[in-house]
Amino acid sequence: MPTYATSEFRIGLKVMLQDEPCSILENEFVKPGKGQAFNRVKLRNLKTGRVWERTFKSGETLESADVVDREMQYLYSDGAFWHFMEPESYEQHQADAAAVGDAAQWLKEQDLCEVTLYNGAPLAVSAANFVELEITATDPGVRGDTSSGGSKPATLSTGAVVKVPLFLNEGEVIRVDTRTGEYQGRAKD
Amino acid sequence: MPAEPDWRPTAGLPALRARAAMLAHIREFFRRRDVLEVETPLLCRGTVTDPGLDAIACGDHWLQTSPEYAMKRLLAAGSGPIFQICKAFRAAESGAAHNPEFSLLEWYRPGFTLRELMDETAALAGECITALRRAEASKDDAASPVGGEFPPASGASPASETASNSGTMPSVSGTIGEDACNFSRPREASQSGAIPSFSGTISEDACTFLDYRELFLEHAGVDPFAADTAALERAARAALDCSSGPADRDGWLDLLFSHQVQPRLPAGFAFVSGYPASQAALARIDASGEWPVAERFELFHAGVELANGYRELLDPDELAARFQADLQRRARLGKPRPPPDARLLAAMRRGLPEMSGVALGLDRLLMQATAAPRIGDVLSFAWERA
Repeated sequence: MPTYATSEFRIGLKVMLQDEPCSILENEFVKPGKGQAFNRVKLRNLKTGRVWERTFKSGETLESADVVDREMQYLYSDGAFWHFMEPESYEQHQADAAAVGDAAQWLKEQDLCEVTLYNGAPLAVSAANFVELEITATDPGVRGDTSSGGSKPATLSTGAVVKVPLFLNEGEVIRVDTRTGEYQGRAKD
Repeated sequence: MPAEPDWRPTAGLPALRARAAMLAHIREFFRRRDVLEVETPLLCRGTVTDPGLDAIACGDHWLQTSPEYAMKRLLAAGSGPIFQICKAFRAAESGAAHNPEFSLLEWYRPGFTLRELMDETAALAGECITALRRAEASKDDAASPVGGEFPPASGASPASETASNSGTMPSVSGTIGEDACNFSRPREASQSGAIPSFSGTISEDACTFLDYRELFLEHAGVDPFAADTAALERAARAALDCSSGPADRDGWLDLLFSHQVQPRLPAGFAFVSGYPASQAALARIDASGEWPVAERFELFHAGVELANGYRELLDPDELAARFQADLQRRARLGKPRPPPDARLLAAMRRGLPEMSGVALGLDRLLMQATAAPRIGDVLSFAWERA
């Protein structure tokens, strides 16, 4: 793998730190006018999500991490693993619950999502920013009430629960922002 | 279609105006004090041996990391007090407060003690910051931030009318003629009222005088003079996650100072003095106290290093010895070893006047005056767009 010097530590660069794949969040150059130069670096451990703050001597290097983000199609879950496929090569990958994490509640079969591979194996899964899902359970809609601003919980086909306006009914398909979990509107068909 | 190259400035027009105002103010400041403006070569055959500085080679010459050596040769030739505003170049220094090419104000004061030079530095920096803030606040378009957009090219812009205002400092208007009479008494000028005299606060910002050792004891929990390298490393590793760590004792001191002390310096101006003799660079060493200390100060504003001043070393043999020590340290650090500057040594053998000198980073001063978070906000074109 190539190595990167501190001056090349750009935000988002994936590097290995103490055998852990990390993504660089911040890189601050610190140097007294007369004195040694350092880089104060914040990294996110891609396995644990923990943020690491570490100071390097300027010029130190880190090995790049074999981490790539791939768009894949979600196929199905067998309970223990979630299965994904690369649309062009048809190559399949299985991800465990730790890798899928919170994305599980937004994954609908056939939908495209982003899978982060580390040494070829899924490390993390991100759902698309917006997904369209069917309401499977909610209180009956209040006819005519399209503007009062009230809301009620609705359970979606993937199991996610989101707040929706009062007028929506079971069976309707809605659009949700997966980054905030917020209802965006009825899906356009 | 290929993307358009990022040709636009990194600084907004207000920042460029503030820079022009600052430069005009500095020149007026030194004119009133009868200090001669000079220019010296930016490309020289010699360069620094300082292990903390890496010069950029340009053919068989070097871009200067500061105009110090050439200015000292002028002083040895009898120039009297001089100042210079120039670009300086330092390889691989790039970040939020660093640009490899930057603007430096450097000046030398024969006969000044270090304390007298600190007072003058405080007066200059304080006046600049106050005047720039006032100019910004008094503008009609005061709401426009320093990083703001350039005005549209068409039409009469109100900005063009205020540009001339911001080029002169409100605080000096009307007193220029009077000050011009003080040429023979430049030091008294500071008492005349034309320049706010220095008394514990600089303009609206508080000013504190701090001791390097006391700062270390308070914020890093270790004595920078008594502790051995292992104790410094322990103190650093207790507070910080640092990988392999610096190669030597001064490296650990730099790490602790920049990470533990500097962020905790006061919000206004802070002069730090009493640096270890090993960090004297070209300052004299005062061996009269418990520990030998460099006769050197650093000026910080809100924790950002602005200026570095020395009571200047005059002894050429001591300079030659420090050059050799620098080269040995550079060898330990695996850095190239440029030959010591023979012309500076020769000038010092002819004799430098007793003096103090200081270098002040003008881009940083501008950042502080305009509350710019990044050096690129005050540079027409920062390094990545140069």
